[in-house]
Amino acid sequence: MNVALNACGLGKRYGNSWALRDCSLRVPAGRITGLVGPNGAGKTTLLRMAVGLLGATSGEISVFGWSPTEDPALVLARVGFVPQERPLYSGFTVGEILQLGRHLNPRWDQAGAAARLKRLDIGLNRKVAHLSGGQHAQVSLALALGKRPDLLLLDEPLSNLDPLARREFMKALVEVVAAEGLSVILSSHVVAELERVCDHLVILNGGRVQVVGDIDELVATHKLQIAPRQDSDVIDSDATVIQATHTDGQSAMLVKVGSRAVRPDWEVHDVSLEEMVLAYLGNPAAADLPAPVMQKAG
Amino acid sequence: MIWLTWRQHRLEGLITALVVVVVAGLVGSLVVSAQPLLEQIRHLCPVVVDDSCGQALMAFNARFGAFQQPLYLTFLVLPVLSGMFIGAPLLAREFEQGTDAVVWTQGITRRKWLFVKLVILGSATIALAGILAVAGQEWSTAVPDNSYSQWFAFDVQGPEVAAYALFSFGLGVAAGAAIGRTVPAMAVVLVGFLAVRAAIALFARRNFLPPVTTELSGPLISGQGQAWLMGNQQPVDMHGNSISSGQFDQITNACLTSRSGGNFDLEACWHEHGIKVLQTYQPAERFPLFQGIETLIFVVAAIALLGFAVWLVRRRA
Repeated sequence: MNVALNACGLGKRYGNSWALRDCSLRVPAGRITGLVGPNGAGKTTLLRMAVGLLGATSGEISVFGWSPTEDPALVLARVGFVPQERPLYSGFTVGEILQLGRHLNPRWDQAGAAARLKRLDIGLNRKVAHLSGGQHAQVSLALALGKRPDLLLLDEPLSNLDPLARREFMKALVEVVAAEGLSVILSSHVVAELERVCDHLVILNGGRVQVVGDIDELVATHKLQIAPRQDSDVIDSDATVIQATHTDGQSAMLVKVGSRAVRPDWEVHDVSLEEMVLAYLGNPAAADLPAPVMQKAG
Repeated sequence: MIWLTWRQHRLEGLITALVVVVVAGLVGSLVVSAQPLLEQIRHLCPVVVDDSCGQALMAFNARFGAFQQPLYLTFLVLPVLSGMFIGAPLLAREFEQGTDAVVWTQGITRRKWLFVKLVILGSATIALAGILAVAGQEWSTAVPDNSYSQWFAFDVQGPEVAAYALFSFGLGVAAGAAIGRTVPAMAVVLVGFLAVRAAIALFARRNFLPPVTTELSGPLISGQGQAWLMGNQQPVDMHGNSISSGQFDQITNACLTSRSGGNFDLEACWHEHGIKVLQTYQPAERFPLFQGIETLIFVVAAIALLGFAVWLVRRRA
């Protein structure tokens, strides 16, 4: 597995509170990884650390094997970043934003960036301040893609966009990933947004990593079991209960299934990604993590 | 980077440059229009201070004396511009709008980004201040020595004008980095710059070197235009003990009434009565040295402030 981003025991503390704690994960290259979690889960902190805007309090993070704070030039050359709220110089024209990219990035793809905006009918002489939310997001994406990154980091790229603009944004993203095969990590607190485009998932909750895995695999190994009322959350199989709801007569349990089959006398339903994510977020103690890999990539 | 620096700071930069050029132009035209009168003064005055010289000086003061004070104030205030409009927004505006996260994640490290910006904008500040310094120099050398001390024009000429502007710039960058908001950073520059300038000009400068105290005598009096006289004249007896002003007046009156025409020497008369008059002053030849010390103070302060800003940016994580 080619690793785009590797974190090992990563932590970030502000005063007395940890924004991110003991975070170990590997994000594979060539995939679109969704980073989900409630507000304040540490998603922004993780992404800003990956691009060197923040330094770690503890542990290590590397991007394609390089430390963002120790070798910033090597990391910055390969990573595109769209920060939360998608800030841009409001007095600039769209053309000047591209010019900024051209002046500051050695691998800048002017033709590609201009063509991308032209397809979306965003004129280069438009002032950034006068763009609609969707257009603004597209210009931010064009700036991040223009540097020809190998890894693209998007922090809440769809927030404050209307449904149509969200779809347009995701479409543009999927197209470029298909064409260029770059790795993407995008954060969101809305799972439904991610389901259509992501193939890998990281759940952050309260500053800790809860789940890392391929979405197909995660969905396949999580089931909803309906059983007669159980008094204990420990059930008679090698499934792990993530979340249990008990009514008078029966218990509904969202479980991670193990190697053995679940009890045949119980009802078993497939779960959606969203149901699975919500179950984990509702139970911060539960975790589904691959065996830790402590060596540094690269 | 050069393009980006130009694009982000061109408006404030051009306005500042325009103000500087206009002021320098006004000073230049003043110097030119004062030339005929100055020529006359140069011609008449060194020989002997007589009525025609006095009239020429009065004519000069009548026409141009009124410009002296406003000019001085303008030069005092102008360097504030580089701090308020170029230094303060340099980092604060990026932090305010969140664009630091954009520009620091392009293919250039934030260290290099900051370095290039500081070099370009710092150089531009020094260059503009240089224009002001030349204008100030032209004016203060044109003004006849007889009417103003060179120390009066201390702040409007020479390398310290550039040092003031650089200090203002550094103060703006550091305040912007520490506060993270443009308008408060601008206020810090306005208040901080004027306070530091006033403190140094009014309290520190006179003590750059210990002042000299000497007996008031002919050469010092005639060189009054060039020395920086400090405090009042002190009548003392020959052992250096101060005497009352009543006693001093008595002796001086006695001397003046007994004057016998010709080359009357008041000092000699004082000596005969066992007193002398002391004057504390900074000698004229210390002028360039004091300019150097003042420049050094502001340049060192500017470098310290810029270093502080660089440290804040590197630590910002």
